[in-house]
Amino acid sequence: MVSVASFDEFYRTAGNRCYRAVLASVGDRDAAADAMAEAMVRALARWDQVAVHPNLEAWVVRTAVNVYRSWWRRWKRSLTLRPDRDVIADVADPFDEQLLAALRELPLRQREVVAFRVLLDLSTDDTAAELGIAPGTVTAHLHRALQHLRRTVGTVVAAKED
Amino acid sequence: MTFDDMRTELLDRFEATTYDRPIEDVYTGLHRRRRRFRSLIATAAAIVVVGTALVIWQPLGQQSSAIAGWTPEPHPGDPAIVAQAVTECRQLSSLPGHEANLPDLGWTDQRGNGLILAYPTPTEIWLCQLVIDDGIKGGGGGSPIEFGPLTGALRVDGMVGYDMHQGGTGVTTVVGQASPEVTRIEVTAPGWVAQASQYDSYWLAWWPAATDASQITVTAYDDTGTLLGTWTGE
Repeated sequence: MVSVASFDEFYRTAGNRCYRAVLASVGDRDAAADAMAEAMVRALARWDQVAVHPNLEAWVVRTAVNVYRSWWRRWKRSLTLRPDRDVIADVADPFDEQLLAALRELPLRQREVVAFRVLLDLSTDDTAAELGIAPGTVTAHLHRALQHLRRTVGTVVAAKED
Repeated sequence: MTFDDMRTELLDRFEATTYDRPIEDVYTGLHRRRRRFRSLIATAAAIVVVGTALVIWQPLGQQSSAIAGWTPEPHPGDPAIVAQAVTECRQLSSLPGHEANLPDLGWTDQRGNGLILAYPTPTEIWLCQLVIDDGIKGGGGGSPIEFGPLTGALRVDGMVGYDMHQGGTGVTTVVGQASPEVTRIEVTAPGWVAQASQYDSYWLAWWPAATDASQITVTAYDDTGTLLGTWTGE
């Protein structure tokens, strides 16, 4: 059980981890930030209930991804989801553009599994519960996703995904 | 390399990415949301015409700057651009997880470089909003707005609002129905007067600013200029 003293503390301590997971899921920096902002507003709006969630970070990331999904895409920034329309190259940000591009090539569900399983360090069972899919599906998605990332990003690994 | 090694590598590559929006934005967003909801509830209670599918999109940062050359009058849009827009909206609505299942295109409403494709059915309407800038520069849509019964000359069924912080000004779209004798509809908001585009019994108008429903007035006229109906948020 996660125990959080206040929303402000959670925002300060978990904001970066949540954002990275949302970014991995969404594949677009601005869309991720917008979705994160909305998720945080929703968390604050009913903090009494949200704060006792067994995995608060996962709740925020899941909410953010749902927010993102509820909009087909949004105005100009949504174009960054398309590998053939790179409009973010001039953005000054230390984030690894090669990795971001590789993530964008994955289906949304695979990106979500990477986000929950890798970036939030959830177990396979917890990831499955958060995403509403079977544990075996999590393993399969993770396997495919990491295969793609290794191949695309250039990491040579012989992984045992789980 | 094991899964743990792979995880470590991914975490390292994400390490430099930080979420830098100040927490004050969250409190401001919550305040805005509550204020907007209060306004909408009051409007619905007083007028009992706001449709059921209110969608609030927030926050979208600085995107309002993408809207340029807005005009009070709607234009159908260049056919070539509209054709691209139709394709784009189909693609947007078919993205995994979105599942919009758009009906047939009804009409288009372009003002400056902002373009809306409207997909009405007898019971609801889908909107796809796009920005044009040397081609389609992306866009989006949300849940459909449900139509209620049209009992007079004019009905407002719903409003879609982008509430943008970080210096953005937002976009507001209002959708409704009108009786056949209505030939002109004007939507007035602080600083904006937009003539609605009409298609069969449906109409819409939009402007590049976030506006509370309580600040909106809609008037309907026939072809002689006679006022047939008024809707106001207050």
